[in-house]
Amino acid sequence: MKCSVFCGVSVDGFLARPDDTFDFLMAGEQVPHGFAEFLASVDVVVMGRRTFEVVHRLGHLELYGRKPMMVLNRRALDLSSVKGGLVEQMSGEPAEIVVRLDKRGFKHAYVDGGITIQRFIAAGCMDRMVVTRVPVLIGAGIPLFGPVPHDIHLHHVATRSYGGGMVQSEYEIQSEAQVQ
Amino acid sequence: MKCSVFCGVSVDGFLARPDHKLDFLDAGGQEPHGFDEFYGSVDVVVIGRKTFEVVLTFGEWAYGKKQVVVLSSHQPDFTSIKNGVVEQMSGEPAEIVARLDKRGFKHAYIDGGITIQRFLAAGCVDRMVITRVPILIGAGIPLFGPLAHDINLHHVATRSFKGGLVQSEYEIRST
Repeated sequence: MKCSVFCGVSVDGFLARPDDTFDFLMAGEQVPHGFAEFLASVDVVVMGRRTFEVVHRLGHLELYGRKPMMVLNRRALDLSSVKGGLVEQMSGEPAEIVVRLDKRGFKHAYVDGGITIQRFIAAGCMDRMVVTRVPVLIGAGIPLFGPVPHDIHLHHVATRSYGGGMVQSEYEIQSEAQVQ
Repeated sequence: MKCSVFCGVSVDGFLARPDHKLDFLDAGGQEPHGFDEFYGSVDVVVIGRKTFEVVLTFGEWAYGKKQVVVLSSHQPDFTSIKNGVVEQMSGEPAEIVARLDKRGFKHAYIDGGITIQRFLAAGCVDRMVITRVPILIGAGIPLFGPLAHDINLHHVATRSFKGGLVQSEYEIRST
């Protein structure tokens, strides 16, 4: 199963402000920038608890296109308020999550949420990243990237600019075997 | 006097590793990407003390005859510099800009993580050319830091290079 990131960030690399709001991404959201096509290509969404709570509270779960959604959390979550029955809770290391979802027949996971993205990248479980940078610096917030156990080489696939000054870069993440 | 930043960073936004090493900047190949033209357009280089100390380890003075200003509260040791034009200054970014402007300088190249961050936070950077190298290094000296308020950028242009470098140019809208 492949794992991809598709996200928007400020030029200084934040997915959201410290209070989880992401108004600064909104101007960019209005411009079509490939998200619909990306969403159509995935069959499962994997996100962390914090992202799930923010999105659920905003009533925006349907933005993920009614795909099965796996919320990663060590303890069981109360999902009774979620309609539609597409949300499950899972726990475990990224590699374990990937194996289990692969066994269930999923082919392409959309990984979302700062901590979750960072964990998957650090564990070598991320295959592709599409990062759209919105032309603003916000100074603090939830960072897209975090610590990694060793350098991770990226293969640049393409970069495009969109209206409103958005710059979108697509990278494949090289496995260690490819780099050596 | 205009102030510009022209720098290379990892995709996760680091100018250098925690030990100031720059080896990872070669990850996208070493294609020419406009630095020479940019350097030719500036008449003064403003760097912080840490960057100055790293530059000293390169051996030959990297800046030729271009006026270099090292921002430091204490006098740095310039004795090892042969054939360079360097002086120490201290003060807030706006003050530094005003003083250099009075001396007739037209375009400053601002370099070094802390110095770039201070000038950005003070609203003293007019233009940024950021070249992202296709690598994640996880930790290091970040290009960007805390700000008192959002800074809106005007995207001028982006281009990519064969080895995977992606270079974006922004103008900074003053609020």
